Amino acid sequence: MNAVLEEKHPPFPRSLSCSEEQSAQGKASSVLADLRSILVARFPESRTPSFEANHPAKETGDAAHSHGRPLLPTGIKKWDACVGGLRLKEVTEVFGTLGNTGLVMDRLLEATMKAGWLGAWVDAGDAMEVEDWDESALQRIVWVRCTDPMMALKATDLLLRDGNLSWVTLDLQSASPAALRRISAQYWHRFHRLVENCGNSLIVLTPMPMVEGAKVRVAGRRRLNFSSIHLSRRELCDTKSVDVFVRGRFLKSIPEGDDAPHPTVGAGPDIVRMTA
Amino acid sequence: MAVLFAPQFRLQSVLLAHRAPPFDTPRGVDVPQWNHAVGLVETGSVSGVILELTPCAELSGVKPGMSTAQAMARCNALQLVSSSEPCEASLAQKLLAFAGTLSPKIETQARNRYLLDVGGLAVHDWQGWAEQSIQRLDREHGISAVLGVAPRSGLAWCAARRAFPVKVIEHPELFIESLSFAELEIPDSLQQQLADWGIRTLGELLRLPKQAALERLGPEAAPLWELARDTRECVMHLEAFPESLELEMDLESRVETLEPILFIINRMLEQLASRMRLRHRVATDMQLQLRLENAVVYERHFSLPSPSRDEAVLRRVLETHLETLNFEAAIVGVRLKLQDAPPIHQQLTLFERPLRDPNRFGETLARLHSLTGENRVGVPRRAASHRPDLFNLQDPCKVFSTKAERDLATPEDDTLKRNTLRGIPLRRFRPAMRAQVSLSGHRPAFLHAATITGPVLECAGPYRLSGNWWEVDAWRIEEWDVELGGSAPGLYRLVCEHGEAKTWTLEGCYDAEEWRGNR
Repeated sequence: MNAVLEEKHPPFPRSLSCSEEQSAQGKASSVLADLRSILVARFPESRTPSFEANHPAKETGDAAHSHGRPLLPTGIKKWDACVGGLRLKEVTEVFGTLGNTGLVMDRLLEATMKAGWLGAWVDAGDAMEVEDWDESALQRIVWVRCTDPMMALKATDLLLRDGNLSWVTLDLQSASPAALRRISAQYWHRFHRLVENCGNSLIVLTPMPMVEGAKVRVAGRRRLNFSSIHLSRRELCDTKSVDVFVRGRFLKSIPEGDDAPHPTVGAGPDIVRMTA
Repeated sequence: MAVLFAPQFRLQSVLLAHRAPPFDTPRGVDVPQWNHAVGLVETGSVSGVILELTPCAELSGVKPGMSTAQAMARCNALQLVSSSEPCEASLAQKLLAFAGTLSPKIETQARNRYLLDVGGLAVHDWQGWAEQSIQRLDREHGISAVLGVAPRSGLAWCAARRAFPVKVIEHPELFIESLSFAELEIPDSLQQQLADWGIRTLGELLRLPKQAALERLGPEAAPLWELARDTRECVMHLEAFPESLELEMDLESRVETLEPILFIINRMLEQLASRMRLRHRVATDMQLQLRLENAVVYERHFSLPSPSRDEAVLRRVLETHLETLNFEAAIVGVRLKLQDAPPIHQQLTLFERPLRDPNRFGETLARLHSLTGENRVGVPRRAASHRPDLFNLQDPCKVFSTKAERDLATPEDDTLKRNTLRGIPLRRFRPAMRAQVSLSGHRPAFLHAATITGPVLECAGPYRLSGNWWEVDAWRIEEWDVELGGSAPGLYRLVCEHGEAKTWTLEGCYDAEEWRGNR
């Protein structure tokens, strides 16, 4: 089926039909995915936490409680020892005073920046101070400045459904208790389903525990005093205390200190008080 | 080669025009449809001869060529519609645009008949391809057509006439053998002569000696041998598609709702996308212009995060924006222009990908903008100023998709920057809270604000900042870090601005049990 083209009209380039394009793209994607799997198997040392975010890995060592979910070590030693780190496909609640939750977020921002993760900070009260955060870390987040918690919940829903970002932080610290009480449980149930389906992570910063069904709760307990304002961030993050609660299980208490052995799962209801 | 043919073309054009919005049908009027008994008459014709019929009308015994009176006598329910030149032109345009999505080489043989060179397509199952194409034409445009595929153009036309709704000739010899002269466009005299000879099919004719047969039948019979035996490449008069990716439409009636505009934009995008497919180009930017009844022109430029020619992607970008618009006057004109570029070919890194779907992310950002307002979503970056709380919000699509400074920074650089960060991160009150401060020895001793009142237990400062001293809007402030007692204990930042009068404001909170800022 050939045709000789007339000279008066220049020939059009041959183009693929829509179905051909789609099938070619699908084949290329599957070949690329197979290649990635082969390379990961042959060169396991080349796996980075960012890769882990897109390709869930099997449980290893300290991530024994991850149940096969991808992990990001946070740099908070006992958090990482307890549950392996920040877990994808789960909702993590960080509650406490303003300062404590801010310091936890500082460590998380550092960890996600090093891992190359892209994320979002949904600020319910438009309270974030840009100068007080690491500039490189800020280059990896989308800041959503909301005026009330309801707007923040809708924005969080949009970002989780999008699926392009590895983590979303919903900062409800700057919301009044009355506004927080108006948040119904259905939002949290919906967010749980979204993170499971979309494969990202939701971190909720709250003044008190309120996220129903949160698998991991991190509580900042230490009261910060006036001298804390002038310490370096690195010093400050090393001396705050954090409690980690994992839904459905309790951990044996262990003595404080850096040389303490890793906690083990026990039958008792004791809560581990850890010093990062 | 393939031939796309729309039977009952003139009647279809009028019926489609009745169906398509924004055609306003008065209440109680029965809209003529393809499954009704409908007959087409020439516009302005006095005699009223039936030109084309729907199958339902033909079943009732009405035939083309009958007068309207005869037709009505045979079918009481027959609806008559007049032919319409604009409707026919519109349908021809749609058919041509659709043919353009099948092959870039098209010859317009008639308004309802297009010859396509499909030899360059890598199709293995021509039957499936033809069926899918016809179904797509029906589904997307509501046009009933047939498609014939054959090795040669002449045979393709014969196949189209036999198509129901597709016909693929894989063995031309067998097909030619069975072709009857009634299916071929030959003069009646020649057809009669062949019938007198007892020759009914083309195969029977071809078995005769060619020279002897031509001498008796005359030169009119030569095309029959060419149809069957000619293997010369045919010369096509190719259709020239416009180079520009711009479409404009003046609306016949004013439009006040979103749905008709989206329908028109959808049609425009289909045409423009097919033009881009022909030229293997993608759209990088879009420009939408809406002309309003009050002579105001609304214009908006869209930059696509990831160049694309997918109509669904382009439509979603426009739809997301149009949903946020609210005009005072009705819309009377639409203009859509695309900026095209060659498609990007890049190999993404194996273990890291900035954004999986940049276009979807762009849509999400557009929705966030409409939820929160302008200039409230972006990647924060400090402004080049010492003045507190000055920052810019950058477009996340651009920041995340380029290889930014963050990727070039070494781990040592990051560690150095982190070691300079001090103190607890501040949470700002936006706007800042006015405060009345009592001083004791030039240091704050007591503070009273809208929601925070209490004695100052400890304070550090003043930390003086100033800027723009060479300009009219020079500023000078003193920052204090204070620990408050009383009803709202915690650590706060207090600022005194030196202007015409000293004004004290609570800028934010470092740590407190409860948020006391603006709610």
